[in-house]
Order: sequence, then structure tokens, then C-alpha cells
Amino acid sequence: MSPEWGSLPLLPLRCILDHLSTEDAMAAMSTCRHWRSAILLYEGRKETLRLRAKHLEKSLYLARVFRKHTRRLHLYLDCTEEDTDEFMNFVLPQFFDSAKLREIIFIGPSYIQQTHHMPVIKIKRILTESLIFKHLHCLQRFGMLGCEMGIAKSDNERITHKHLEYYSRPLTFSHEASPSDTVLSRCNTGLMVFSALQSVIVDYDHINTEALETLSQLATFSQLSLNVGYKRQQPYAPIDWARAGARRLHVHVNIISLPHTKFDEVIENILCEGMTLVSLKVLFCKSLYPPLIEHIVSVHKDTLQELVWADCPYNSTDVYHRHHRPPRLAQYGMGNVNPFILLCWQCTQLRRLVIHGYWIWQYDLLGFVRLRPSLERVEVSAIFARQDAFGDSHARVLAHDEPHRPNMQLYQEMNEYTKFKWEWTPWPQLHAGLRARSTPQQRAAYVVREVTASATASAVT
Amino acid sequence: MPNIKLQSSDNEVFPVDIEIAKCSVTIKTMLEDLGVDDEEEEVVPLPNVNSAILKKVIQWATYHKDDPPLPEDDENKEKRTDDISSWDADFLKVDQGTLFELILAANYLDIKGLLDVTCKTVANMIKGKSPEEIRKTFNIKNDFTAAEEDQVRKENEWCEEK
Repeated sequence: MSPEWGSLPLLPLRCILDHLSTEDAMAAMSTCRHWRSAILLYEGRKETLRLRAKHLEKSLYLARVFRKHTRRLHLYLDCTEEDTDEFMNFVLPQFFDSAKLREIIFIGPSYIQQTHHMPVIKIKRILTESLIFKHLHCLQRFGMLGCEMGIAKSDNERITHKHLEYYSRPLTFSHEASPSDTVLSRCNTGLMVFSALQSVIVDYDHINTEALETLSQLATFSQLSLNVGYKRQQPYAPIDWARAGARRLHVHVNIISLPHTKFDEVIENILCEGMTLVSLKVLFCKSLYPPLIEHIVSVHKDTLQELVWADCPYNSTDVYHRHHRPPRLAQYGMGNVNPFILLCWQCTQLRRLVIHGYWIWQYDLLGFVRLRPSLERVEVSAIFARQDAFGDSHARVLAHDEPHRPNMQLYQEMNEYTKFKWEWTPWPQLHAGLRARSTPQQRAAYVVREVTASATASAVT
Repeated sequence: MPNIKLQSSDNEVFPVDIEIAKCSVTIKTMLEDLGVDDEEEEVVPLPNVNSAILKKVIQWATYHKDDPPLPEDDENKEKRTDDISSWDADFLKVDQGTLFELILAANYLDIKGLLDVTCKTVANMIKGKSPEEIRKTFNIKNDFTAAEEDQVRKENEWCEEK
């Protein structure tokens, strides 16, 4: 008689599934009804779980299967505020008992669609605070991109909230909704001693000096990512870094889809002296702006560890590029010195350099690694060999360009100077958002990836 | 060493060292509940296990009697399946019917080590296979309705998305 595998009791079945990868376990659970029923007990493994508010049924299902082992939770709020409320009401409580979350990031519609015309989504305060509170001991990173904390809506919520705030009276709260409210108001200072929170990612509009003062009371808080970009009415308010506990706070600034005409304001009000700038990422701003690099070099040369300057190839027929005239580089008096050469020469801590969307002369590239032995990663996608190919300007990569693999000699020379194994980033292997004719969604995906990248956070000591 | 007698479903009686028998949580609890007296030798009936399988289980338990207790599961990592000892691998070179019965027995007798190693063996047989290949390997009948099959496919696609 052949054994009845189809009726194996659930306990051993679960034990078998626990020894399989998610893929194999899913295949096993697709064989028959009885084996499928094991999915109710199954705890899948997925390091990063991305849930979209638009697909509630799917999100609930994924939350149930993967919540136990998920480390990084990325919530895309890509629907109306009402639907977002429903999504948060149903999905967030699923993670109350997951107990291993290290990262929670809310991503609002302006990031997903990459346009300035989307509303800033208000996220549910009480639920979010509960989620943070329940993961107090393990949550290391909290982020709100293109969304802000809502106010407590119902009376019931308000009463609970008031009650909780009573215990947190000693802390100063900012007047605007900011992550510091959320991270701290749910718990009193005594409890926050146990907080593991190290890093906060937030839009520049939603943070100020008071909020940072509050956050700085967390023992482990040491990384702050500020996203600058998208639509804003008022000028950028400067942060008083001395009060904000700047000495131990490493700041990552991400400039996203900002016209270069605004860069001077960023230089003046945001990238000012006093902050410990460790990382600067300029994403999809459509132009290279040497004065920004010069400013970084003169003010932050002792702390900067990472620079990313990424654009997709210029496509004259795309609406995205219309009405845009990049600045002529000659007018900055840079001559034909690549501004990144200056950066590599001066920034002694530089570890990661990423340039996409601009042609780089191969001898400039060699210059980078010769000048800065501390580099651990150099990502460049378009390299040209002849110096006079583009005259005295740093050319944008165009949509119909097809950068070639550099010659072997460059490989050899590069690797003579690098501690790591340098490789050219081949064109087809680029992130979809960095390729010609990329869609706003693909560019947004790259932005979210860079903004939430954890590599630098761990590289920073 | 005091012995106890284990009686299989087909009424064969096996005298076993009491310490070895106690690696089964089921037997251990049973003995504690009964309050066994060393003087008289109890016969413990095991109506769910036949003599051939019980013999194998006793053989496994005797070999592993001095094993240290299993370490607490590290839940962060996917469990390994390539760490089956060579003795266990030889021990489990059996037909599928016996393997299946061993899993049932380990489950019923609640012997964690044996359950673990038999499940690992089955997991190794599943790895890298498609649902159809798994059905073939284990002679499982596909009893999904068309609608259920669609649902399963949809849910699996969800889970595979990065």
C-alpha cells in the first residue's frame, strides 16, 4: 500500500515546510487541498515586505504569511486617503506581534508617482504609534516619505492619546506634525531608554530643530535622512544643528527631482555648516550643478562618505525633459576640470561614488581612485576614452547613446589603485529608472531604493 | 537499569530501557501520569505504531540516547537540511512507506529529533521540484477545483513578487 502523503498530519507537514525555502514551500503547498491548508500555519521568510494600499486583499494575505520573519516593512500608500485608512486599520495590526521589525517606512503618493501634484498623505497616528511602540526594542529605522502624521480623529482616539501624552510631558514637541511626535509621544521617556531606533528618514518639510531636539533624547538615534524636493511653498527653514545634537547625528541628504535653479537655496539653508553630512544623493534633478559639489567640498569635506548623482538619459521627445535647459558648465568657470575630481581630492572619508546619466572621461575615473584610496565602491555607467569627445562640457547621456564596455587596460589600471574589485556597470544591468525612456514609476522605485538603502547606514561608524 | 515494555499495534512486546523510552515525550508523560512503580513491569500499549516501525524507532532512540538536547531554533534563518548525520542518512535509506510511517510515529510519540531528521529527508525530496513533480514523487492527488487552482496560482504569484 502506498503511503497517504496527501493526508500527512499538519504538524509534521509544517515541520517539513519549515525546512524549505519560500519558493519550495509554496510549490509543496500547491499540490493538494490538505497541503494547502498548511499555509495557515506557515511562516514565510521575506526580509523586505512591500505592501501596497491599493491591493488590500493581497496585502492582508502577504502580511499573514510573512509577518513573523519580516525585517523591513515598506508600505506604499498609493490610493485615496479613505482607502489608506482602511489599509492601515487592517494591515498594521497584523504586525503588532511580529516582534522582529527593524524598519518601517511609509511611502506616499508623491514618491510613487514622482510628481509634485499629489497630496501629502496623512497617516493614522494611533496605529502607527502602537506599531512603533510594540517594536520599541527592535525597530531601528522609521521613515515617512511624502506623508505626514495625521491627528487623532475620533473622540476615543483623542482620549487615549491625551492620556498617553500625559506621561510624555517632559518632552518638547514640535508644532508641526513630525516623526518625533510619533516616535516619542506614545511612550514616556523612561521607556524610550529601551528604544533601538537609530535612524529616521523624513521629508525636510516635516522636521525642524525642536523635533530633532526631541529625537536626540533617544540613546541610539544617530542617523537622519532628509529628503529635499517636491513642491513646497515656503523657503527652506534652516535647522539649528548645535541645538539638534549635531555632533553625534549623521545626516544623509537626498535631493530629489529639484530644479537646479533651487540648488542655491538648498546650499544656503540646508547644507549649511554645523551639520555632519555623511551622504548626499542628487536624484533625477536633470542637471549637474558644480557649485553644489564645490560647496560640499568646502564645508563637508571631512565627513562626506557617499555621493550619488543620478539621472536618466536625456530624451528630447519626453515631456519629462521638456522645458528644461541644463546650465552651461562653462559659466561656472570650471573649465574642463571634472567637479568630481575636486570631490575625490578633498573628501578624505569618501567611500561610495555613484554617477549615472553623465559621461565620464576614463582618465577622470582613474583620477578618482588615485586621489581617494578610501573609495570602496565606484559606480559609473558611461565612460568615454577620448578627451575631446565632448569639448569642455560634461555631457548628459542621451537616450540613444549606448555606452560601451571600457577597454581592458582601464580595468587593469583601475584595479591597481582600488582596494575593491572595480567593475564597469553595464548598461543593460542598470536599474530600470536609470535607463533611457524610464517611466516615472521606475524612477520612483530607484529613488525609494536609494533613500532607504541601508548599506551606508551600516558603513557609517 | 529498569525496563519497560512497549506493545505495538500488532501486539508484539518490546522491552526497552526506561531512559531510552523517555525520549518520547508521549511515553514520558504517560509514565509520569501513571506513576510507574519500578517493581512491576508496566506494558505500555502503542496502538498507533506497528512492530516494524516501533523496532526502527527503538533502534534510532538507542543510538541517539546520549545526544545533547536539541538547540533552540534560530528562527532568523532558514533551517538547514544538509546536516543529517551519516548514521541517520543510512538509517533513513528506507522506502517511502516506512519513511511516512516513521514520521507519523515520531509525531505520535513526540520525538523531536526523529521528527526533525525525517522531515529534513522529505524536505530534501521536495527541493527544486514543481508542484506536479512533487505530486508524482509522493503520489498526491490534485484535488483542487479549477477556481481553487486559480486562487492558489494568484496567491503564489503574490508571494513570489520581490
